[in-house]
Amino acid sequence: MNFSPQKLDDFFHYKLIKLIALMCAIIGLLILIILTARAIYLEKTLVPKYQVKLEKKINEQIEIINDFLNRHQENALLLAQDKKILAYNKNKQLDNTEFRNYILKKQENFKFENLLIIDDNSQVLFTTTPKYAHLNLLDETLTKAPLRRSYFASSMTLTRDFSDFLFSTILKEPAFFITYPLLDQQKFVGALAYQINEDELTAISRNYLDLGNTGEIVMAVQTATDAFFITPTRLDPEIRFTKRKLFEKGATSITLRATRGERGSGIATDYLGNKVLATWAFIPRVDWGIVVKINLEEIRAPIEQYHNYIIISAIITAVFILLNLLIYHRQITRKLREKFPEFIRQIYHASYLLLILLGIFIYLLLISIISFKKDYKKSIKESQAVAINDVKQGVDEIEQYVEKIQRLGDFIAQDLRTERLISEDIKRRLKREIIETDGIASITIAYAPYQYDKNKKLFAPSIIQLRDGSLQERMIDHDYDYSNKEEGIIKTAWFIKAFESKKAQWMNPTIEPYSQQKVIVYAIPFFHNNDETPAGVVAIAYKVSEFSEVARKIAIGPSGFTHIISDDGTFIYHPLRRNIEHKKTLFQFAQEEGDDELARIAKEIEKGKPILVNFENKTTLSNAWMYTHPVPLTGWTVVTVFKNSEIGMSGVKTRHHVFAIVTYSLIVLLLILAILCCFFKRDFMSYLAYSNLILVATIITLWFIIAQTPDMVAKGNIRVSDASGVRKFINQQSEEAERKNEPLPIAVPAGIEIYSLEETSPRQITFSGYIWHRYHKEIHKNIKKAIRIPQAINFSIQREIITTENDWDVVAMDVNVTLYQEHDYTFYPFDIQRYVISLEHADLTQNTIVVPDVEGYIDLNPTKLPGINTTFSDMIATTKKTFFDFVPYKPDSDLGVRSYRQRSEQYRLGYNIIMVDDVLGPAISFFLPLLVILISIFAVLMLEQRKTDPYTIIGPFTGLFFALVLLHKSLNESAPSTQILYIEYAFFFTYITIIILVSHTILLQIYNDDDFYQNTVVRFLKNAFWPCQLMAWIITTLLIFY
Amino acid sequence: MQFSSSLIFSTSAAPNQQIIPAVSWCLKNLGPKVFIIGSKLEKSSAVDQAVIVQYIKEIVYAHSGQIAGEEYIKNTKTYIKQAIEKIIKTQPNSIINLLQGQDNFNFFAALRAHGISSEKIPSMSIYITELELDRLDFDQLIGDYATQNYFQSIDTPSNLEFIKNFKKIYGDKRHVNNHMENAYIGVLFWHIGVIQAQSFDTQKVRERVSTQALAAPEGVISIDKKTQHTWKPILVGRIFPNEQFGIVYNSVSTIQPLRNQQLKSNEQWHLLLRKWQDKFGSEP
Repeated sequence: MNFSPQKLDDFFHYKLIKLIALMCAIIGLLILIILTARAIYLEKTLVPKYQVKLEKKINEQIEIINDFLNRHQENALLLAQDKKILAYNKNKQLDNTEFRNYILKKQENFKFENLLIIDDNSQVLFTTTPKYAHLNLLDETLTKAPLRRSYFASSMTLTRDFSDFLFSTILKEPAFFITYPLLDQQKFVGALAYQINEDELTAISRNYLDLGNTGEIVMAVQTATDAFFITPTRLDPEIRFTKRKLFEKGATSITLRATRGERGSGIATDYLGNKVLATWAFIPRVDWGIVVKINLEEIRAPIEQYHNYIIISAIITAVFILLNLLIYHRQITRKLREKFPEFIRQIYHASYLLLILLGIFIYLLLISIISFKKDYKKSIKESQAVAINDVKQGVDEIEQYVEKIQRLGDFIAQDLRTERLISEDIKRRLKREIIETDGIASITIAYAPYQYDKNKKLFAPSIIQLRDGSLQERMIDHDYDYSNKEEGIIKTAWFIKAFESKKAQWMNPTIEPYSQQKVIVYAIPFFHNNDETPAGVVAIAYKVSEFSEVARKIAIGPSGFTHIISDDGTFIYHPLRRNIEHKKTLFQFAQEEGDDELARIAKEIEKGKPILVNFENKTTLSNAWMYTHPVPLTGWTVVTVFKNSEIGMSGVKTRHHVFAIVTYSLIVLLLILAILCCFFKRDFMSYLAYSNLILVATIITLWFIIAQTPDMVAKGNIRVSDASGVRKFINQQSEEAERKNEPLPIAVPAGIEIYSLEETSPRQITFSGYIWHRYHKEIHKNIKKAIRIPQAINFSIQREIITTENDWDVVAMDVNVTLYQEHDYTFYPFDIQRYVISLEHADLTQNTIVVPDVEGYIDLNPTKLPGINTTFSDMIATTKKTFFDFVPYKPDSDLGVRSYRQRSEQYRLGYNIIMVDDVLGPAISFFLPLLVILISIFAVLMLEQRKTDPYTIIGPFTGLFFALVLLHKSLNESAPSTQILYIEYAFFFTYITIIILVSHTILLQIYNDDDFYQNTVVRFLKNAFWPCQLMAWIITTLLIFY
Repeated sequence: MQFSSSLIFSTSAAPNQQIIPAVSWCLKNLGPKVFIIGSKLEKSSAVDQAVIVQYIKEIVYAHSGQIAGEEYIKNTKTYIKQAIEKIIKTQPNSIINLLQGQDNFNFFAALRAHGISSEKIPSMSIYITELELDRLDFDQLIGDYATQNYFQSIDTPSNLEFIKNFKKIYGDKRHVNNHMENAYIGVLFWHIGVIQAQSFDTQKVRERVSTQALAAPEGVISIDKKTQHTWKPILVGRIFPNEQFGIVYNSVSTIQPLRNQQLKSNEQWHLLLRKWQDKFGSEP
């Protein structure tokens, strides 16, 4: 068919076609208006509607839980009043088949998990679970057991008690009891503990009706020191009784708020970091917090759907409007032709309007700069405030411990002075004090020579609490003469210093010789009535671990740490044990490191005032903050250190601010250019041409900002970049294992050194290098010497070398490994790839955790690239950082080894390589050819004239289109992704440009005789070509990277 | 346990949150023989004391303990001397002290003067708090015990914050005691009730308060909907030389305000109350 513009006009002249096109455009507009109105309505009503729904749900759920508790409470009461049970308890029988059968029948009816009958001496007489058999709740190892606490509460109040729902140290699993006192003829004869079947509770929490696909019910409990999820959740079935996620900062405030007695509803961030709509409440009877929530994304899904409908209908309507424009173009262009020159003239004479706009945007620009500065300072201050607050709380806590010890010391000294405590009662009294006060390793009352008895030089009874909790009596005077300096200053300092100074003294950390525990000693002299010479010294040895715990809890940022310094500058606690063991002072430490600034700070600390300083850490070569706060009672100082780079604004927030500044700057510059054009009487086309410079500068600036503000967030992972981090992690795991009665973790140090790394396929990487793991002859004597990489597709060991060094065996493997890695190229070429090589110990029978072999690396600072040998250059991109982290995981099976599943929390050691793509490569491979295509398109546009044969133009466009398609295909092969890549938008704009220019070629022929089109429109198209391209890129960049 | 008016909420302790655990603790930790010392009171105060004594007797019986004796004194030397002589004679393991205010000072001064230290016969006080330690010659009380639901020495972050704020307003020397904290949480409950009800309307606020929980200085406490009393923890403290209580027992979790019907039924309680009201001339 021959192309003829006249034929096109004729086609459109059919009235029916005209009518349909017009009707479609009108209907399209109407639909668009209706959809927009509906979307606005939903936006306003959907969240409040769901909020009401969630309120209803949480009330229903609380009612169900209360009914559940009432039912079991009634069952327990019936059993507590059961004559057979009372008789069994009275006769103190230990087991009886008939009685057991009776209880088992009751169990069938009442559906309890376990039933215990405990006599008034705390002895378990009957239990349906063998683990409780013959147990006595007075056993000191059960101090924290929920059953013991509940038994005592019930026996003290003679009313029922709901136990804490906690991890039972006896059952080695969570347990929850209702305890009733057993009263026979109004006499307390024991208690009945009714263990609730928690499967029922879990089933209650799985009521997801009306909660959509992401809604769930979260239940948690807070104890004095911790908080735990008590039921599995829909999105994390393994979360029960893990506290890790609950304590993530800012992620779980609603769960914690619920456990703290609050009730409320609103939009919040949940424990998984998702935005949710939630209602939360507290269940008083059992002290549980309950949260009912749905992901906001799901609630907003209908709104998003409407947004999609709006976009689709807007596109269809736009097509019909365009069609109508083509049909009515003659009428429109006639009008335009008449009005356009006047319109342009009016705009150019309206420079006062431009000046007003310029003023507004300069104001907005200044506001955004000020807001950026303010937010930056605020975020730094917030982190500092957190540090100050944490340290102050820590100091308060330490003071509580110190006061407790001082009070006790003063109390005993005073009682000795007033003879309220006489020598026959000393041992009994000291034993009682040790039992009643946590953390005491020993108490000694040492009389000065001949003060106790004129015929006896020394008298020093001491009660020592050994590691297993048992108490040992000792006479210190039988072991050494504590009043004689020659016995050794370390041994006798506690007595001599307090005795000579006549004042209470805090001694520096030392090892308590009998219990072999690290302690600090509080020594206070005591006097005889009205006598000024001390009669002796009371010495209380307090475990350092109690203070260390406080310091361990204070950590700002992933690598922040805290230490405690004594009044003479030595470390009482430091994450690096050697600093304590070598009795190093902070000043000596600074001297050894050659760190003048730290030395100056050490001197400042001596003044005993809180200090917040910024300093350059010579060890990690990073800028850090240090906050110190004195503990007035002892003269100690708590010092916390945190890195500057780990506080302040996140990369994303910084980018938001800078993008706003760049956008306002762009508008301001374009307005200035417009004013200048008006002033120098340049026309609009010149303005478009000049604006290219501003737009090019803007896009380059945006790219630079993107490259400078990467955002690599690894959720849930515990990053370690020094020995203190490793130590902190191991301590946490040990505590957690101890709490759950699980085997204690055994750390196996391991390291990796990579020589080459390449991306062998879109979902695989291959590396070669060394992996080593170390085993201590004693600590690791029962552990198999093997390590594995779970994601490895191919793991070949070229050679294995085993060397022995002191007490350590080192297994080093020369390896070549191919492993699975998912790449995310969405931001290509500004993407940051993170490759993770997970290391796991192969001994499944032990609770082994692979930890970084800290001493094996010169520097673990991520920017120093530990573990990558950069001498070799076949890396796939520029390596920015390498670091270790601990990655939590849940095995789906026990791999055939039953003990493997005993550990509720498991971690792999992840070696992370952060690589940034070399922008130059993609620029040469894709961006340059794309630019060439665009320039060629532009050249065709420039060359196209009124009399050019349209076929000579369509041909080059077709050729360029094919070149573009091939280039696009090549891009998709290089960076495979299921999502649209950033660079792909440039391709889309080029496709659209080709379509527009092909349409323009047709219109050029249609309006062959039209001077307005041939002169004004064609000139506009040529001048607007680059500004439109650049603007499209700028807007896309802002939208994608904001 | 239930109030005659639904508009009354109680933030103070129910018997199973103070007097019962106090006696139980003494029997378990100090020995089975207790001596009750109280004041000679009149009218409703006497009835209240009679109720407490009745509870003490029931608990002592329930735990197979023994009441070594009971004395109710007036603030005269004769009465006090008589009581102390009885204590010396019966040699109890502990003294349950129901004395209030100045009576404590006179009694303990006389007790110490007779050579009975807290080491020999410790006492468990119901009404002695940090304020009494501040006013009395507390030196005589060092080593003795008290049972409350709140002590200033609780080392929770919320209590440290509470104390800090209190001292900011009233000065460092002022102490906070159980009753002051009770009053504080009472206002807090009402405040939250008003906020949640978005109204000052009594009924609306009442409805909200009856299901309320809050993070109080001693931990998370809540209102028991049925009785309108408060779920509270039990704390046994020992008087230390710094005019504070060192906590020797903490129930950790909160205890529901309850009465054990097996010990005495409602009717039995009503009969006893009527008897005491007649005896002490108190209005029913």
